[in-house]
Formats: sequence, C-alpha cells, structure tokens
Amino acid sequence: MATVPTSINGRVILFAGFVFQLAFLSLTACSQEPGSVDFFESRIRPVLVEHCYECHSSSSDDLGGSLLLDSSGGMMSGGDSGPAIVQGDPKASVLISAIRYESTEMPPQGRLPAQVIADFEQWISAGAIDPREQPLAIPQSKPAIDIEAGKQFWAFRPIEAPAIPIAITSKQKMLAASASGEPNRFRSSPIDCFLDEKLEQAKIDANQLASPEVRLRRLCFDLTGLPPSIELQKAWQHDPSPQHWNQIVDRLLSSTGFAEHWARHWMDLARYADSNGADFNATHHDAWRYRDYLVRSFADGRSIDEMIQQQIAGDLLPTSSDSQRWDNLVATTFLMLGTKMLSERDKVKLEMDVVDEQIDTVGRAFLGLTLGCARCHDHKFDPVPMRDYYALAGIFRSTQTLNGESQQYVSTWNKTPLPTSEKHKKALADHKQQQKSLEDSVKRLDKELSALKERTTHPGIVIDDEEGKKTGLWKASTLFHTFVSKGYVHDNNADKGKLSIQFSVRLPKSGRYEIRLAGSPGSNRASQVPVAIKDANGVHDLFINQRTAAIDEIWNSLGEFQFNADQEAIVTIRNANTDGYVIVDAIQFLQVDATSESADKPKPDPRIAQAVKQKSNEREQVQAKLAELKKNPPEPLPLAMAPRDRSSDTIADCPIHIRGETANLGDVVHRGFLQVCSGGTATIASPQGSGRLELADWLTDPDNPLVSRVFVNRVWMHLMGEGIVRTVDNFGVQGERPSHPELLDFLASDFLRGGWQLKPLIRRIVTTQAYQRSSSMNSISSEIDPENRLLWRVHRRRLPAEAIRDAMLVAANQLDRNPRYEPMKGMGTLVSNNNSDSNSEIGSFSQSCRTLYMPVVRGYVPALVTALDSADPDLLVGKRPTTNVPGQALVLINSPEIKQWSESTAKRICSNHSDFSARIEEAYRCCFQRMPTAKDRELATAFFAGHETSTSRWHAFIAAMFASTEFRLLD
Amino acid sequence: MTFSRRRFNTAAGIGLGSLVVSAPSLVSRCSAAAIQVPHVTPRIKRVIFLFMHGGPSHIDTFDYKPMLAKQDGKPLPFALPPNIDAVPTLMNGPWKFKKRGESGLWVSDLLPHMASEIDSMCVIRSMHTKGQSHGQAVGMVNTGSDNLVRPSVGAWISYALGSGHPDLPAHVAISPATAHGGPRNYGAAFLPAMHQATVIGRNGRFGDGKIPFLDSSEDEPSLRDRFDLIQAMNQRHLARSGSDREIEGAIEAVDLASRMRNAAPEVMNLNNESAATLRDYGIGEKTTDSYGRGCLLARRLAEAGVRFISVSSGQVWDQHGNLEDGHNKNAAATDLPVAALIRDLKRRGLWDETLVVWGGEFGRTPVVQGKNGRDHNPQGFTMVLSGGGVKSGFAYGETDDFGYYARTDRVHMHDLHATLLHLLGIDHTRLTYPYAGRDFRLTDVAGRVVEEILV
Repeated sequence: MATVPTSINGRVILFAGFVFQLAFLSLTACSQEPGSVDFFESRIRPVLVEHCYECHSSSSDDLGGSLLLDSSGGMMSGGDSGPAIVQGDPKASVLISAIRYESTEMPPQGRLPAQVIADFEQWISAGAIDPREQPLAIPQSKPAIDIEAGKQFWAFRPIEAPAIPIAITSKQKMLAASASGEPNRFRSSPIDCFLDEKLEQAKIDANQLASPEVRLRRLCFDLTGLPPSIELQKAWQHDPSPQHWNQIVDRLLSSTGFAEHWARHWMDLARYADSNGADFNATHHDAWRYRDYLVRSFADGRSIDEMIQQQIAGDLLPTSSDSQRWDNLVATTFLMLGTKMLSERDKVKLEMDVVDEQIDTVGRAFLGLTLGCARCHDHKFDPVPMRDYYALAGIFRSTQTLNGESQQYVSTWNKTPLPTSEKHKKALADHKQQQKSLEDSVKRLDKELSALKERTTHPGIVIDDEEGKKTGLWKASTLFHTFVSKGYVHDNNADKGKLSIQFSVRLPKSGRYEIRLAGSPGSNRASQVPVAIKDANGVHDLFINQRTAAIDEIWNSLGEFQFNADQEAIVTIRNANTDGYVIVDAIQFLQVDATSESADKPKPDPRIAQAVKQKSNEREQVQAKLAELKKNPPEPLPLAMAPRDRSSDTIADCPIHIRGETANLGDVVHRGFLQVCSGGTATIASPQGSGRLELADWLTDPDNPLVSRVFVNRVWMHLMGEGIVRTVDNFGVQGERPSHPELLDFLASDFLRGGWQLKPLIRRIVTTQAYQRSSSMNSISSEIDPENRLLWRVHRRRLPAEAIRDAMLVAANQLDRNPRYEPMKGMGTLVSNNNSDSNSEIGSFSQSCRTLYMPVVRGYVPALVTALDSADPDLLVGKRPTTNVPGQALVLINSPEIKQWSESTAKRICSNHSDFSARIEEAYRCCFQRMPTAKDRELATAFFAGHETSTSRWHAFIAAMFASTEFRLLD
Repeated sequence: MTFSRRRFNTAAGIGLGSLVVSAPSLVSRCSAAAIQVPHVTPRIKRVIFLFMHGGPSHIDTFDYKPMLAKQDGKPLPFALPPNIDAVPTLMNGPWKFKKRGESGLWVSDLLPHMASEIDSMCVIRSMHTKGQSHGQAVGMVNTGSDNLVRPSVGAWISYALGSGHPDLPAHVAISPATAHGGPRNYGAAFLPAMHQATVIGRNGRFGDGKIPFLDSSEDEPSLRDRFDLIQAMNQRHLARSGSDREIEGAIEAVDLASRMRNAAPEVMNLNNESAATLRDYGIGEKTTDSYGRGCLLARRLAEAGVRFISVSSGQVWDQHGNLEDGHNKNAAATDLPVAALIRDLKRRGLWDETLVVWGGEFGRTPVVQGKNGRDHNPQGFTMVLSGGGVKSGFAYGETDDFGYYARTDRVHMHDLHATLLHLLGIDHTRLTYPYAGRDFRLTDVAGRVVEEILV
C-alpha cells in the first residue's frame, strides 16, 4: 500500500478501505475506538505534531494559511480556506482533501501513508474527539476591509472641479513674456496657474521657454511621433508666434500621424501583439483590425468613454449600421490580447487564468488599481476585498474568450464574423457548395475504383507494400489510381538515403523466378532506384527506372533469380541517391521454369484494366477542378478576435476561489463592481447577459472617481514626461500621491465636461507655458526640487522606440506612410514551428512602414526596438522603462538596418549639397531638427579633417548622429 | 588617418578627463540598492544550468526501478494523472542500470560519461512540478511560474548579485529555444531590462558563438573614431543640458559597450583552449561539437564572473515515440560535454564555487505512449546537481516503485529554486521586487531550502 501515490483508482480505495477496516476492527476494537481520546492520542496527535505543527501552530514563525492545527478551536474555526474539519463529515473537511492531495497538497514534503489518511477520516467521522485546550493566545484574524473608510482615500473621493488659483506673481508673467520675445503673447493658462502656485510656494523660479527649435521638435514628436519637416522648421523659425504655434498644434492634431502615434500609446496598455507568445505561439491573424480601429478612432476623435465601452462590451452594444457593428466587435479584441497558456490541460484553471488576466488589465488600464492582488486574498493595501474580485470574475467567466482547440489540449480563442455584403456571403456559400460537390465526386470515384481493384488479380506471388518492413518515414498514398491492393507508399522525395523497405518471402518451390516491382510511373519518379535481391547465389544489386513501367502500366521487371524453398527470398528497395520519388506498391514473384503452374496463371481481365483507366482519368479531371477551385477562393469572411457572452444557461455568478485555487471554492458572489468606487450598491441587480454591458456603463459613469483621473494622468505623462500621479498604473495606497491633486481634478472634470475628448485635452496641455519650458538644469531650482515634481523645467525624455526608428527612416527619406493591413496573412496556426528546428526569422524589420504597422510577434520582437525599450507585449505597459545598457549602444552602432539608413541619409545629403557647410546644416536639420551651432561645426570640421568629400566619413558622421543621445532624447 | 580622441576632445572644447565618466560595473550599480546580499553565507558564486529541454526520462537515466522490468507490459496498478494520453501499460526501457563509483548510485548505460562522474553528483529523484505541457513546465523551471509572465531565474540572480566581471553581463543564455515561451525563459519580465540574458546561438545550436551586434564589419580605426564621435556629440549634448542622468547613463553605456567589445572576444574565444581541452568536450566531433562548445563557453564565462549561464540542448528530449533512438541520439550529443564540464571545473578549482544543474522541465512516464514512447511526467522526475555546497555521490528523495509520482522527500521546483538562491547567499523570501502593487519573488509564496542535500 505504501507505494500507492496521489491519485488512487476508485476500486483500489474501496478494497483497501475494506481490508483496513477489517484489520482495524479486529486489532483495536477494545482500546481505540475512532471516537476515543486514545485514538486521538495514538493516531492523530503524533501525526499533527510531526507533520503539521511546524507551519500550523501558535509557535510557527510564519503561520501557513492563517490555520492553527494545535488546538481543537483552531481546527474548527480554520484559516483562509475555512474550517479545517467538519465534525462527522470527512468529505466536507478541508483537512482531508488537503492530505489526500485533492485541494492543496499537505504536508508538502510528501503525501501521508494511506493508513494515516484513513485514520483521520475515521476520527472525523466519529466526531473528531479532540481533548486539546485552546492555546493561550489565538492570533487575531485580519480585520475585514472597511469599505467606507477606504472611500476616504484621495483616489476614491468624487472628482470636484477646483477653483483656478489666481496667485501668480507678476515676475513670472514677465519672465514668460520676455522669453517668448513678444510681451504678453503667451498667456498663462489655467494649468499654468495651478503649477505656478506651487512653484511660488516653493520659491522656485521656473525655467524660461525653450528655444523655438526645441519646442517645435518636442511638439511634433509628442503629437505625431515624427520629426518636423524641414519646411515646417523653416516656417516656424520665421514666425515663432503663439498664433502660429496654435495653428501648428491644430494641424498636427488633425494629421494621420497623430492618430497613429496615440494609437500606439493605447496599444501599450492593451498589451497588443500579433501572436499569443507563451507556450504555444499561435498567430493572432485578426489582431491588426484592433490596431486599425484605434488609429481610426483617434483620427475621427471618437470619445474615450465610447472607446472604453466598445472595448469592454462592444459585442453587446446596440448598433444601427454595419460599420458601427464592425467597430464594436473589433474593439473587444482588447479583452482577448493577453498572452495565454493555451496548452494548459487543466481547462478550468486556464479559464480562471484568462479571467484573471482580463481583470488585471481592466483594473490597471482604466482604474489604476492592481486588482490581481485580490485573487487569492483580500487586497493587502487597497480597499478591495476578494468578493469584489469575484464579483468581476463572474462577469468575465460568463464571457467566452476561449473557444475550441487548435489541436489536442491546445485551446484557441473565439472568433466572431464581421459584417459583410450579401454578395460576399453568397460567393462564399457558392464556393463551399461547389467544393463539396466535387469532393463528393472524388469520394464516389474512389469507391468505384477500389471495387474494381478487388476484382483485379495478379498472377504469381504478390506481396503488397503493407507487408514490407519499412525503415524511415514512408508516405502512404492512393493519389494515382493504378495500384495493387489498397494503395502504395512513396518516399516523398525526401530523406534520401534514410528510407528502405524490405520484402522477405519463403517461396513454395525452389526454382527460377522473375521478380517485378509495381509503382505507378511518372516523370517525377526516380530513374535509378537501388534494389538489392538476395537469392540462392547471394546478393545482387541493381537499379531500376520508375519513370516508365513496362508491364501492365505498373510493373517493371527486376530480372530472373534462383531461389531455394528453404531460404528466404529478400528484396530491399532503398531511396539512396535517387533523383525523384521512389514508389513501392508491390512485388511479384513469377516462376519462369517450365512447370504446369505457369500455365494456370490467371490472366488479368483486360476489361477491368480498361475500366480502371477510365475511372482514373475521370478522377484526375475532378481533382484538377477541385484544385483550381481551391486555388481561387473568394475572400474569407472577415473575423474579429472577439469575446462573446456564454449561453444563458452557463452564465453564472462566480464563487470565491479560496487562495485562488480552482478546487477550493467558497461563497458565490453576485456579479458586480468595486464597492469602494460605487455610490450605491456595487452589485448588478439583474444582469443582462454576462454583465459586461453594466461593467462598461459603470466604468464610464461620470461619477466613477478613477477612470477619468487615470486617463488624463496618462495623457499628461505622455506630454510632460511624468504623470501627476507618477505611478500611472497604480492609484492605490501603494501608488504615489498626486503632485498636483487639484490640477488633476481640474483636468478630469474638464475632460468629463467636454465629453471625454482627447484632442482638446492635448491642446490644453501643449499650449501652456509649462509644456514649452526649457529642460535645462538649474542648480538652484534643483536644490529645492531635485525630482522636478513641481515642473519648474520640462523633463528630458526618451523618444519611444517607434519614433526613433521612424525618424531614421524619415532622415533616409525611406518612410512609407501607407498603413499595413493583415500583417500575419499567410501565417499558419503557429507563427513558427514549435520545435528546435525552427530557425525562421519572423516579421522582417526591413519594411519601410511606420514601426507601429510592423507585426508584434511575441518572442520575436526585433532587437532594434527592444533595445530602445519598446513595450514588452507580454505585459501591460503604462510607462515604458528607459534603460541605458551596452546592448543598446551596440545595436545603435552595429545594427545592419541602422547602417543602411544612415548610409542613405548620408548619400542623400551629399547629393543635395556639394558645399560642406550646407551639408552639415542639412544633417543637423535632418537628425536633430535644429541648426548646427558654431561648436557643432567645429566638431564636424575636426572629424572630417580634410576628408570632407569622403562618402565613408559622411556615413560615419550620420551614423554617429543616429547613435547619439540628442537623436533619441527630447530636450 | 585616424581621428584621435585627443584632437577631437580639444576640438569639442572638452578636457580629456570629463570624457571618461567614472564607470563602476554597470551591473553592480544597477542591481537594486535595496537588496542587502548576502543574506546567508554564500557557498557558490554562480550557476550553470544544463537545460535538457523536452524532458529526459528519469527512469531511463538516474532513477532505477527494478519493478518496471518485472512488470513490463503489465497495467499500471494505480490511476494515471488527468489529461494523459499514454495507455496505462508499463514499459521497461532498453538501457541497463549499474551501480557506479564509490557511492554505488545507479545510473543507466544511456549516460556513461555522466555515470563516471556520479561521485561528484547530487541526484534529486523526487522532483515534482505542475504543468503537464511543455509551456507550463518550461516556464516553471526557468521562471518559477507555470502560467504568468515572471522574471527568469538568471534575471533574479543578476538582479541580486550583479555581474562578477566589470565588462560582462551577469546572465548569459547559450542556444536557448525560441519555443515554449522563448525569450520569456531568460527574460527580465518586470525587473530592469538589463537583467535579461545576453543570448548566444539559438535552439540548441551554438551558431557562431558570438554576442549579437558586438562585432562590426568596419575596420577598427574607423569604428574607434565613430565611438569617439558619438561620445563627443553626447558630451556636447550634456554640456548644453546641464547635468542629466539619462545622458550620463547613455555615455556610460557607450563606454561599457566599447569595453565589452574589448573584453568579450577574449573570453569567448574557444581557440584559446588547448587541443586536449577541446577534445575533452568533444569539440570537433560531429555529434558533440555544438553542445561541447556551449559547455566550454559556459566554463569560460563562469571563470570570467558571469553569474548564471544556461546551456540549452534544444527541445530534443521529447520522445513520445522512438524512445530508444531519440534518447540515444540526445545522450550522444550531451553526455560527454556535461561530464567534461564537471571535470574541467574541478581541474581548474572552480567546481567548489559553481553549481551545475542538469535536468529537463519534467521527466517521462513509466507507461508507454504509442508503441515505444513515453509521455510527459511532471509528477515525479530527477534533476542532478554537481558542485559547491551540495552533497556528492548522494541521492535524495524517491518516486514510487515505477517512477511515476515523487513519493518521499518531495522537492518542488520552487524548493530547488529556493535552494539555488540559498547556495548563492540569498534568502528566497527576501529577494523581492515590487510590481503591480505587490512584492514578487522567484518562489512566489512557496519554496523550501532543501537542507538535507546541503553539505
């Protein structure tokens, strides 16, 4: 019994239990009744002391699962998983399922012997008699989360539009005005008033406006991710007025570049990828539609609340047009993009992992809360109890994300057809019908042919390919219909030298035999197939040509050989060094000695052969038609990677999963939201479907204190370098507090009032003085506010990887501004073979489109962008990290793409200008979007040092500019 | 004519002194100041993980089960775990087991070279993990998580200890697989990106054995010029901006890249080894060349101070069918190099301060799959340690009579990770990183240092 491991066959248990009980009764009936104290003392307590007390007693250093097993009270009141035992009911006792390794696995060092487990079951059945006293001090269980107290935390308080401070010193006004060069032209905006108030309180003088060149570069990259054109640089240099600034802002906001750049910001939150990554890197064929949706939405100025609603519940929203329905469906791809362990065989667990990923993403992206923490226990810091998590889990578990399997054990996701024209639908239906009818014909012909085959007889001794001993991977086929028996095998014209097939036969009589090999002939067959024949005289090697067949359309003679009846006749066919397909259908032994038998040879019926030929021809024609039809299918139905509600009988509230375990369920929680940011009840009274519609409404309710604050803070971060709350994905207790809470509320309430519009929000920010300040260091201000929390200067910041690459393409004059659609078209289920032989490069990076249109294949993100800190597509990235590692420098210096772009840039500049000084100017305009200074020119002169016309020097010069800090930083 | 740094700096109006930004080891500087290591006395300085991707069969290598031979062809006398394709019919493997070395531990004929080093090995025969599929199990062994995106073991070690070489990274992955999570298995996840592995080769193939982007086709003087020009431009940028951490960091990174260009080729050049050493590792022999190069490079990197080096076999050990052919082939490719690595480390006095870990993401079932294969078995399998801090010629833990389930002294993957960190001087409960609202650990909320195997 001791060898019986974790899972026990049911029958074995019954049997073992029975034997054990008998033994038990006979041995211990008098002294150790399961309901006796003796039983506890001799069989239960020693086990508890030895195996459990280390982690589950009042003297444990680190009490496991808040569970005490050193007192009867501790066992009854239990820990995180509820009471450890239920008197009289071992099945309901968590302790039993744990020691049976059915829920948690306790003790972790190894499963207890079956006898011991049986002891525990009996002891509980008999009432769990336990003479131990209460320990002196029972550790306090954690107090429940106080939601009402939690609501006092700043982030959960209602948003209130604050009064705009007016205390701004005339001195600062003067400074601002004089920096602009034209008094009082750049007015202080409300945002400036909020910022200036704090600067004044801290007695910090803010920096002056940055130079016009610096400001224009900043604005263009921030709004579009692209550098200002040389024409715009010149026009702005000519007229750096506030009016002109505002015009440029408006022009940039209505450009395609703006929509693309801000779509990419959103993609960071959506953990956008064109493949699943993880264990099974399945292709996301339709994810690009979501990217396309984002670009169009930002271009069209779709309101952010509508975008959130579409992305949470688009499939459930009412629609009045096909185009609206299209967008609604595609938007929900947001919920689908997380990386999933598709090959997880425990599908219940997989489903809960997917739900968790969705809750975590929605929580951090829109609410700035780390809800994932509440999967296994109440949130340790924020007022989010486990029941809130499972209220949301009920919504997402009632939503179907995964649907079906792409191969055994490997899940795939739901795909929803998108609206398409009636004509398109009809074309698809017709095509399907035609294909089916042709396939039916093939099947019918196959049947008729095999019936004919059975009537075909071959003389002599015929051994079919099925009886040969095969080495290597022979492929069975019935494609060509002139074969013996049920088909034939071929070597697929591959693995040359590795395949062989051997026929051994004991012939009935000694004598001389002709041997023939069958194989349908053809021009792609091998002309020199090596065959070895072992007869009475030894081994004979010969070659045959399978491109033709001399006898009855399929047979070739191998010659005559002498065989003895007491020896095996062995024929071996190999594919070594062959120049085409090697076909093996059957071999035939025909005795050639003059005997009576040869006269009895049944002759093949010529009529049957004729019929076979006819049917085969017919079949070939149908096959050709089918192939032609398959080659020209109508466009496939457009599909969205979209979730859908489960059927109404499977939609359900979710029970609490104690410690996050799928096998350890607690109370069922009504579907709903977070109590701490809900005015009234957080429960959905009567959900329509999964509850996603209600969730979408709750998120975009103007009274939700988090969503608009979190969103405007993200926009602020993209434009100002840091958020007002610097932990942009965490507005909880562990997050940072806002540096300017009133400003944050001013922006949020203004945003809500204006109908959740992004462009006006951006316009408001980039027309401030604060946005246009210089980023230069000032030692006095820095002394007071070293982290620049009060924004006395602009944060110098890294351009996103995409903008750096795009800017290089612009400089090289190679940027193709056309979008890319269907980047994964033609890819199979997997982006690459999931094995060690896969050596293919995916997502060629030499394409000249904007980087946002390059496929994001998890596991294959090109070194060039990862080195420049592009968003890790496995994770939600609110704020990209900025690293400075040697790998980054090496990529910038040695990557072949960058070499090529710098070379073209250098060539272009050299062909545009012959004058050295003009070339330097254009190089600076192109790469740094500014004019070179005298010092820059000195540097260049020193570098060229008499080689001003050397192409390689120019290439090196541009390459250095590409790799320099100024290229990739926004001053 | 080369463009001298001196002339250039003069032209840029910058003194020589300011160009050389003081650059302590980038890695040590960036490893979190918050971590005070060591927590306990370190027994080793580094780990070499010989990853037998695909899952070698424990019952055909280190976990001898005489009952399996006796019951060959009979039904498994207990239930299979869920979601298994194998039929519950026991299958004995084709390899003979023998007692080896002074320790008398059983090792099969499949790995004759490793068998000859058994007295310097600590065999854990009671490993168990979750995840019936490769994806989960590979994630578990490499990152401690079978479902979520988490930093890899090497990244955690890099984060905790930094590199032992000023100009080389702390974490190197040799020939890692692109499947089953690919880069995630040597990635940094939410730890700073610098802790992800520097990759050499891929998918079990050593390739050219070079660090990507380190070599340039350009001639040395003009490349040197370009490095200098970049730094001069960066210095100009810094001068105009006033002090700026980002620019200073970038200048330092270019400097480090330049030093790495000088340091790495020397360390990575296997031609610096004697012909005898190359032969020991099987370099030059077709079957062993690739893994032999990987193991030898691992030793050179270990010697130079790299903290965590993985050498992946490629996903080759997954014999659902043709167990005998497949395992023979894989053993032929890896057995000799692994044994050579252990011997070489000993010869150079590095063995005591290095831990070699050999194993797959799981073992294989004692029951047959198809005609002659074995399915995945995370329920019980073997991993082998060799090096400082652990007992030698020692076996720990047991599976059941057939090798299906880890039965006594079970060691979870979290326990193994906790033990590795412990040997490196790190308390696995104290090596944490804050992300998404909480502190994360390599061992999640589990893990026990397996004291019983420590010296």
